[in-house]
Amino acid sequence: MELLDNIALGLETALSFRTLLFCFVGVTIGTFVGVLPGIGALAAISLALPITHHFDPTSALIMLAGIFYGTMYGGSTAAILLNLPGSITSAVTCLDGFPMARNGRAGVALFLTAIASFIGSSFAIVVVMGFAPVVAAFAVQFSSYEYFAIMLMGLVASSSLSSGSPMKGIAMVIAGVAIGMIGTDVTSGQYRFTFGLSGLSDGVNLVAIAMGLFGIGEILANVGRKRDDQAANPVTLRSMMPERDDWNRVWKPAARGSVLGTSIGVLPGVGATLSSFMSYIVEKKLSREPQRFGNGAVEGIVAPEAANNAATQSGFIPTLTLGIPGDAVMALMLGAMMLHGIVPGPRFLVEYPDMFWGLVMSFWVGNLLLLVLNIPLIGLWVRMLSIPYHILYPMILVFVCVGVYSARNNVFDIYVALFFGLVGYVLQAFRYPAAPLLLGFVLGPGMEEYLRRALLLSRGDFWAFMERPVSATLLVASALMLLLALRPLVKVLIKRRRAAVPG
Amino acid sequence: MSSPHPSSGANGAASAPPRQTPVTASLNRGEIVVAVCFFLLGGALIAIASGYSIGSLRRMGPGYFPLVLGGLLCAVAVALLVEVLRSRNPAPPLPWRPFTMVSLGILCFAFLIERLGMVPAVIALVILSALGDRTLGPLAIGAIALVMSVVSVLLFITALGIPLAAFKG
Repeated sequence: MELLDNIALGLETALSFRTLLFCFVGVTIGTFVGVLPGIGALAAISLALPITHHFDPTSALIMLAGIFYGTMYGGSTAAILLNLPGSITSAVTCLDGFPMARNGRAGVALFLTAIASFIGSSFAIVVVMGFAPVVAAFAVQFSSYEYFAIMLMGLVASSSLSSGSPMKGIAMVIAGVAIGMIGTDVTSGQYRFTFGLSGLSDGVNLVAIAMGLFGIGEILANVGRKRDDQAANPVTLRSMMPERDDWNRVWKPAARGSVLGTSIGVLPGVGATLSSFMSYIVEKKLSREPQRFGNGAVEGIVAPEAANNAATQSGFIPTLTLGIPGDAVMALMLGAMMLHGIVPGPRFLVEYPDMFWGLVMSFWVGNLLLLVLNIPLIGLWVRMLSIPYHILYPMILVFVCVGVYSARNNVFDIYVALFFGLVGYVLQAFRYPAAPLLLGFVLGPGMEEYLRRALLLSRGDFWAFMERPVSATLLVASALMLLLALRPLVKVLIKRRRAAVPG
Repeated sequence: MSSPHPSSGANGAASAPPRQTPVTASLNRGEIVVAVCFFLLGGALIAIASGYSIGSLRRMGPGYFPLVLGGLLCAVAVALLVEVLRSRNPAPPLPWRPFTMVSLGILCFAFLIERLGMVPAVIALVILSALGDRTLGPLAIGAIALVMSVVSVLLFITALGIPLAAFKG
């Protein structure tokens, strides 16, 4: 019965005109950004962050969330039509989506990814509704030990499970935590690493760092790069209808993708990107005809799209109930809430039930809107794909600069954003992932705080972490992940030794 | 993410990583410079943090955590160096023109926004940054500058109420 009351409360918020409007704006921006290659969810949310700062927190959160899951729908469009992932999470969709388009089945692919996205989201939203209160109730007993352990695991997972070299991810996470220490030390009140600059006394601004890394950095990476301007063929509604054979192939992969995505999304530190890769691999392994994959298998687009949407939605569970974001986008979400003075955590559900349930119910509204935006209105987005980047990027830069300035009415932050843009470009060019840096930046201060508090309570005894079951499990899990990540490095060392011996 | 299966047919961003030929390890100067920078960052953390009060494990001072972090970063940087010495990644391109023009545009924007107001700052930003890519003609750049000035004044000053003037004399 309590659930029904909560649903009613949520619907009251989610169906008010104001919220509907923000939800609609959010998912529309999300689809737009998702469709366009070269700007992703991170850039869009950092761009919207200073703007939503002026709204009430519920509307702000609903709109930002809408942008986030909206990009998951939009991302597949460019992947299918142009073989360019509109956002990283849909990179896998290229593998079978583009061959489908070449076989003249682009419409079917777009239709099925929209349906799969909806299935994934719906499953995950149900899980959020059922489990978030349970997790929150359980987490009320958590103390500094558990929080430190969860945060550490989130950072380890985000750095070591990201694509590419885990060492690079770890270096970025540590750098992020270090940047997070700039400013006033909470415990002693002392300024740290401010270099005498008054602009740094409150720390580096989240908006500036995110806009720098993901706004300016991505623009630098894309401007001047020669693109072969392929034109996407127009898609008609009639061409979107799948055949009977397609329907039969869709349900099971969509269901598996939903479950896998939801479970991966709940884990701290691993986000939607990993879930889509994983579910592709799973489908290929399970398939009786694995040779169809890569040549336009519907299973290969349906499962990853269901998974990344599911992971996106279920990622709200750790973010809202523990205050621990699963990935960099969620870290921004968390930052947005903190800018509004709301600290997510186990008490969030009790203190702001209207906000939590309003947000969750707005997911339903948003996903229904997205279904409309992505099936009947798909032609509109396909046409968007022909906007050239050289017209788009000066416009994005204006939003970046004005946005960064407006967050604190502070010119210094613009310089900070430029700095992170340049550094971010160079680092990403050398395949250092930027997302762990942002996650470290957001989680770092809390981690130090909890570590200090925990060691104060335990009188400097580290074993206290291992005496508590939850923190012990999480720490062991983190250690295992680290070992797994370091395996390639060890292999390199062994190989080098072996290289001396021929054979 | 590396899948054990070679992905057939597609050449998207997600296709299997190129097989490394373990014949000769070529030095990639850029990679080494970046790894050394991380080492220096770790060293700087240690150097600065040791100026703060360290405290004890039981009662950590503001210097404790950064000190540990700096040590970790140095260790990771050494591991990176080991890894990087064997990598054969090609050096990434440094697109000078967009780099300079976009940076100049942002710097000008920051310099002008409180001195001359929103509109001149936006116009300077659009013109300079658009020059980073040679495709646009002056007319198109002017049009974008005009549209963006109007949009940013309406959105940020009128609708969101940021305390900024459109023009400042």
